[in-house]
Amino acid sequence: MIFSSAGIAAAAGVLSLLCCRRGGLAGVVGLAGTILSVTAGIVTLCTSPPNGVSLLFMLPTLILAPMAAIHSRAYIKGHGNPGIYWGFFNLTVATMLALPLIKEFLPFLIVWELMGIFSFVLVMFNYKADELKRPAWIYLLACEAGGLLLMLFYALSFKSGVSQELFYAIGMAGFGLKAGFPLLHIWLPEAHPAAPAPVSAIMSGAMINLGLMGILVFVFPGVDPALCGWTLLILGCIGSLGGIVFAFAQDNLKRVLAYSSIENIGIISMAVGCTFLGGAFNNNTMIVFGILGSVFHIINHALLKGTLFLGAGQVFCATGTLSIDKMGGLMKRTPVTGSCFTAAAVGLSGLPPFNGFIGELMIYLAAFSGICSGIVQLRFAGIAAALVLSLTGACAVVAFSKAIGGTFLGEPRKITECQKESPWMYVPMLCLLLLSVIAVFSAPFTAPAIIKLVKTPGLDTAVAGAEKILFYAASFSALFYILCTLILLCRRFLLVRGAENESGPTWDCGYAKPSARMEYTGSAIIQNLADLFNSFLQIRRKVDEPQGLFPSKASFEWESPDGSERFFWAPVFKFAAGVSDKVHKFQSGYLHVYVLIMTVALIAMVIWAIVS
Amino acid sequence: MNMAIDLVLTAFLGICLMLSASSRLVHCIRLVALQGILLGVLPLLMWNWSKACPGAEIWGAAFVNIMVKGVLLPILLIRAMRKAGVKRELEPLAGYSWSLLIVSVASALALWLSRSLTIPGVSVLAIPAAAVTVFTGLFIIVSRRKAITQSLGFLAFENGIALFGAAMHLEYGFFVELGILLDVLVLVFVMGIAVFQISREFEHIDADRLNLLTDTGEVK
Repeated sequence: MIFSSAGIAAAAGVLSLLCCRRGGLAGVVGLAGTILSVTAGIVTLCTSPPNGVSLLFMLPTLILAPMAAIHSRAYIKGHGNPGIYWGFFNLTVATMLALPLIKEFLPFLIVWELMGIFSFVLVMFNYKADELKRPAWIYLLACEAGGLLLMLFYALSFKSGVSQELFYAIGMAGFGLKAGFPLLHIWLPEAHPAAPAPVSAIMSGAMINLGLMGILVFVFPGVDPALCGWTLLILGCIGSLGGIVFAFAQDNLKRVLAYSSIENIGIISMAVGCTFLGGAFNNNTMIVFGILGSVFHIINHALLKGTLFLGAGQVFCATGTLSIDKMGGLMKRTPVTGSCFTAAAVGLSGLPPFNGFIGELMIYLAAFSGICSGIVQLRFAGIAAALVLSLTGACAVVAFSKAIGGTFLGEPRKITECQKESPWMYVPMLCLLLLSVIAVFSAPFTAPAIIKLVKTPGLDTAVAGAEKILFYAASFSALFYILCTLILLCRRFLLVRGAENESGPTWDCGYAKPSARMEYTGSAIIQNLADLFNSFLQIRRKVDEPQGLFPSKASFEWESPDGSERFFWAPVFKFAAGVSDKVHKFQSGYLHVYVLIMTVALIAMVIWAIVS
Repeated sequence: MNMAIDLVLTAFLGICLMLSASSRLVHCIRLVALQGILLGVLPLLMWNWSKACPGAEIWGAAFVNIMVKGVLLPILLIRAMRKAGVKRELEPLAGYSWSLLIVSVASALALWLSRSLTIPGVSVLAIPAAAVTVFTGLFIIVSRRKAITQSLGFLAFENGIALFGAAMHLEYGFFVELGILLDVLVLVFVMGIAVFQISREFEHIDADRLNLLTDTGEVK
């Protein structure tokens, strides 16, 4: 019964694949299937909620899947065969809905692999584009590498005498590849920009969380909680800071969002790490705030990152590019998208009054309760978490102000033609934002239920305190909303009364005839900060400076490729390729040589067996 | 009865030596056919006749073996040979005297190594004969150019494996044997068709030049 939603989604997927000859029908079947399966999922959750953390990891999928599906309807028009898209979209959703409910590792592994393969098809849905081959290949490799590690993990679980550290490290790496832990995040900045926007939204908002879920459900039971806590905390600190620093150096809008996903999964791991540390040192407040922080942030990230990716999809459909430096001035032409994107970015940067603030507030409080606890280890952990979180928040504001400034504000730079925005695309974004506002106000009421789900007894006093704080935060947000509404009403009815409306170009700083070429680009906005972090980012610049009094030409290019790819994976793969090339000499193409090699090996083995 | 078994096993060794040194394809095919017939007869020779008559299973295995390996496959190979218009393996990668030497050395080595592998109730010659047949098959695949000779090598190789099974009284040997037999049959069919097609397209059937057909098409 609990698998009904996944079953419906899978059936809808197969049906859509069956009618891939008739795109319109496939679209209807696919969209209806997604919505039906999500409805079934919500009904199941309400009537017979599954126990434990699985519910928490189903929620992002349940929220994002229908919104992404509605968005897809407009997005994939003219992008390939809708039957295939809807088929694999629904199949991916089915696997993602089923995974949190599976308690046995072997079936989990099978569904996990299926999820990787189905989503791979979605990533390379637009397979005719050449620039898509590399990202899709990287994504497939990452999925399969993760799957192989998990198979090894499963196999080792039957073998005694394996070192425990190695065993857990393999499990962590297998799931971490999906979650996008630092160094293993390699596929995120490649696959997200390449995938269709609704797919990126689902993958970023819901799928990477499943990696974390895998770690919590299958790797961590049986490990010392302090070790778990430290691992997650350190990984989270590195991931969140590294992710956001790389985020603001990117020019591709969806790459910015992908790096921001790495950051957010880092924040979530930090929160979970705090929870484990609190558990290890019996600090109830830290446990409660840690749990609330991680759960709220998972939900917030799903809602807000979903909105942002859908917004990026809308921008891509409107302009045909994702390069921030080429766009500009989109706020005037796609006002709803621009506003939603801005609101979601504000929320995801952890600024009040959106729900991102509530989540990060909880994590800060977890960190502070660690600092106040008087235990040296917790104090250290709390300081690290609070410091990293504040730095991350500040960098997130920079990254998003760059993305928004470059994309939506000012005048159009290179892309002057722009399609109108479609309600299919912005209605889901509005819904997600509405949900995130609801999430703010429901937080005080859901908090005890969330703690109960995780089933840790003896936390009542701490929960009561958390409730109170959440209540204050919600009231503060409510006040903010009321103020905003009042200001908007004033503007609408008092200030403008009798005045004439006139619209002109964006304020031009007093220049007589400014052109769009004189605008600050996205790269210009963050130049200072990029210089500051350059020892970490290692940006590749190509500057052709203007010469003389009347310079005729000047150019500036930069790119910021992924650090782990450049300095870790590329050398590793180069070495592997060198070794493979040497081995490749054996593959001469002569049957005789192959048989000869086999014969020699066979004889050597026989002699070895007899002699020894 | 032991004498007869040893005789058959010695014949296997002899056939291997002849196979490695003869260039006429018809002769090679006949030798492999003889191997097949001997292989079919071997279980009957090994049967303890004084106790009871062998069952239908043994008779059937012997019959199928003799029919397929001794009659059907040789006929197929000879037909393929005629269609492709080849009679001799003219340019082997290892010359005939060298081949003879290598197989003789291998036989000596096999006899020497099998001293430590004697199994009670099984003739001392069984393991070396089987090993040498397997080796000769592989050696022919490695050292000859024509596709037909190579499939002959494969047949000899398979005969060697079957000899292992038969000489050791392996349980379920019959079914395993039938399975392998099916494989060989398919292989020879495919080969027969392929040889014909290749000789029609390329005017030769030298397998060492087939690497021109890789997907890169590079000449190595």
